[in-house]
Amino acid sequence: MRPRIHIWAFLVPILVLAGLIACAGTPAQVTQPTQAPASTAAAVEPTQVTATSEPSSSTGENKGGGTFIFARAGDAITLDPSQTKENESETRVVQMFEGLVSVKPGTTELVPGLAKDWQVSEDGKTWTFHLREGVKFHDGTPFNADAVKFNFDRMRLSDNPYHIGEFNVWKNMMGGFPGVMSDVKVIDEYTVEFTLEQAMGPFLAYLAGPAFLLSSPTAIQADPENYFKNPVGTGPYKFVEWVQGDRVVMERFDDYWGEAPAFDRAIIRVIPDSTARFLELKAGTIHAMDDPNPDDIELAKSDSDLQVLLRDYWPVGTINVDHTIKPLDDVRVRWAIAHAIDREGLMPLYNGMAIPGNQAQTPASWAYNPDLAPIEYNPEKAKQLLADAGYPDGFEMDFWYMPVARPYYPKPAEIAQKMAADLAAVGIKVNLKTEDWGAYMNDRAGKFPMWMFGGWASVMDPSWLIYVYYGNKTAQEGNYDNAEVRDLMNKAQYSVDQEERAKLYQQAAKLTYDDMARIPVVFARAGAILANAKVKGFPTSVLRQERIATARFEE
Amino acid sequence: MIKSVGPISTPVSLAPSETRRESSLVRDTWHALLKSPSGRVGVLLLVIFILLAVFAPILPLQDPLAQDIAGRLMPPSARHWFGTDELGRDILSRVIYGARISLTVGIVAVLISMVLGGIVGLIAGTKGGVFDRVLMRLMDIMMGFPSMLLAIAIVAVRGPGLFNTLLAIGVIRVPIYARLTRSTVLSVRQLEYVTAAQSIGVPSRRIMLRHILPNSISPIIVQGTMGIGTAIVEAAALGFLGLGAQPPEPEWGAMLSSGYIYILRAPWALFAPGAAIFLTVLAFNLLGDALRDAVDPRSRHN
Repeated sequence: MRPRIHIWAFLVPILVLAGLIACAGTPAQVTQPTQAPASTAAAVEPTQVTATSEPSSSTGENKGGGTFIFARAGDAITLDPSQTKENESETRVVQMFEGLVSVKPGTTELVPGLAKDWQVSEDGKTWTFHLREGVKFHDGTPFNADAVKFNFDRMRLSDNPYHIGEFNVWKNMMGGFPGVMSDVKVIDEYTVEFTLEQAMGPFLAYLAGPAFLLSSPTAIQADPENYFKNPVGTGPYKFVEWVQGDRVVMERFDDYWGEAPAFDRAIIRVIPDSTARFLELKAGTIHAMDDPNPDDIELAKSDSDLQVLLRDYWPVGTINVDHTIKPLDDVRVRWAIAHAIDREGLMPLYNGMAIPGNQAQTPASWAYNPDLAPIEYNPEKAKQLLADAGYPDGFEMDFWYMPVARPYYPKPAEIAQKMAADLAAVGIKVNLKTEDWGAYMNDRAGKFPMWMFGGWASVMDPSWLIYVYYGNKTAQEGNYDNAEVRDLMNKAQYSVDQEERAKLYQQAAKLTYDDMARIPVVFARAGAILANAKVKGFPTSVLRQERIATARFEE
Repeated sequence: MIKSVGPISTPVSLAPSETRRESSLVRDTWHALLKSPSGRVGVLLLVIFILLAVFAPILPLQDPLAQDIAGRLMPPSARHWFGTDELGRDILSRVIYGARISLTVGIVAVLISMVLGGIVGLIAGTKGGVFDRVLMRLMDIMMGFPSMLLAIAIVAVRGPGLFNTLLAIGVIRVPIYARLTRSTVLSVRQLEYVTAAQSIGVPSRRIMLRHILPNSISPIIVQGTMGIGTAIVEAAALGFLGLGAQPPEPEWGAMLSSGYIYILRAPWALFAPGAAIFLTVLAFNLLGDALRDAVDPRSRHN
């Protein structure tokens, strides 16, 4: 009689345990498309901010007013451009602020912003910017050389009374306070001169970044402590309201110097769950959303009410090797690995978000070297190279894969297993290993013989990625030591002529390709945006800093 | 109970009588086990799993590691009974090969904790005094840690992998067996035959191993049988967290972890390993339950 009771007494705990396993999920995988039930409630919950409730549809024309709502997964941390250091804050400030230099929307090209034009001295140390005239900040303060000087002095001088906060990006890019910028001079009302300690190739690209966009001096002086939530710039949209954790509301700035934006209002909402964002997009309560689930991209493609805006290829995924460990010190072995990987075969794991790669810069970058051949998938050649190098039977090695999804390796464990099978086919037996992300980042140089890695430039300049890869710091990672490459990198770092720099980077790319310094695997897209089909003129940005200014509705 | 007299003849005459008694205990237990329905179901399920695991290499299965990226996430079909996973591997074959891993982990981990815990409990129970206090406080400290957290910590320090998982799960269960052994030993120690052995001058180590241990072992075995189920679940949990068996090993927890992002598109990638975990753990628990009734003389005769 007892056993019958006991079966249930055991069944229940087993079910509980099974439930516990299911709940013990790790965020190691890509955006989980499994949270739908929990988030649907949030999606259906009525919000004041809906597109349909606005008196928007007066006309379908270019300047027909209305509201544009863009949804992102996270909220801004600050709306003060000089304090931004992550993408969520960046996406808000680029709507309201401008810098001396801009990035042409939809491209990686630098174009004049609040400066009409500029000159640089022969030695690359003195930059003179001629400012656009008749530009006003949202609070009516005129934009002039004094305003520029105010902004840069605030950022670079730690004893400036308005230097309140971290100024993290300035510190990293300009090398501290004051860092590389030794002086800012007002020449006349619309001319300003920067003096640098040394020439700096990426200087212009840095100035175009969100952290160097210019604020109204009056607004900062009025309340320096709270400026981060009362931002005042010169951009096409001006700040209205920031409901933290929910939305940033902006409206058209009527005195904008450039082309007026199409919408009366632009709103960036926070909807953390990707499934909830997608449901709202389908319901029409938002007009565009960032970071969809891969499966939802497929759904959106087949939905005539929606469109998929793919960002260009920007992140690069590689297999890194330690050049001091045998047999990876042999260039033939590195090429054998390169030839063994079936890059096309990996593509189904990327849902159309990547293409095979062959260097550290994607075709979207001006430093991309178009002369390098794609790396051929050729197991026979790989075996031959291994035999030539003295390993006819291959070898065995630890291969580390990352525990978290990145744009260049969205499913790291699956991709690692596919690559391991490819390598096994030519005789290289790899033991797959991983550890937590923090430890992985620390250990990768030194502990790992071979590991998956990647990255992307967070400014519009190739140096951001490849100088770190192959410049002075190279010795820290992979122990690749090529004086010629280092020399090219340093020349490019201190040159201010983009064409010359492009040539130098391309030469370096050729050298690292021949050496197979890092084994390129993929060029991945910087992500995707899903938008309502009527949204036009909303170009994507590889740095994930889309500007709403040019967007409009067309039925 | 012990009739022999004389310090020299005691051990010689004890050994055969012990063996005889044990074999009859085993036989009685087995019969009692098969009499109970839960015991029969448990034994049947386990026999199936063990046979599958042992004979996996000679069964007509596909290579559990062979990838076919074009045929990924295919639903169950005649060719792939349980469908294919994210790299196009046959899930049926992976689940069966996974049984080898899970059963090995479960059994070896329990053996580790049984042996270590048994030694600690036996020493603590027999010696008593300061040994007892120090050892048991150590065990209390270990029990104070949430066991899963401790396992994760052990694996994090030693690095992920099957062997370390096994070790971690073995170690975290040591206190349970130590306590169990100690309490049984304490009650057995009071019995007359132990006092008799002591009075005729049998060395204490011999008393510990030949008199006390064999008479305390059955609750430990029952606990161990049920413990295998728990160990399998814990190994799967570590595998799910990416700390257990490393890819491409077909470990059940790791299969669940890589399959759960496809839950809407390819639920079969979750179903098969989930069901396998459920059934093995159920089998061990049913068996352990029936075994407990079977070795308990009171419930057997009732």
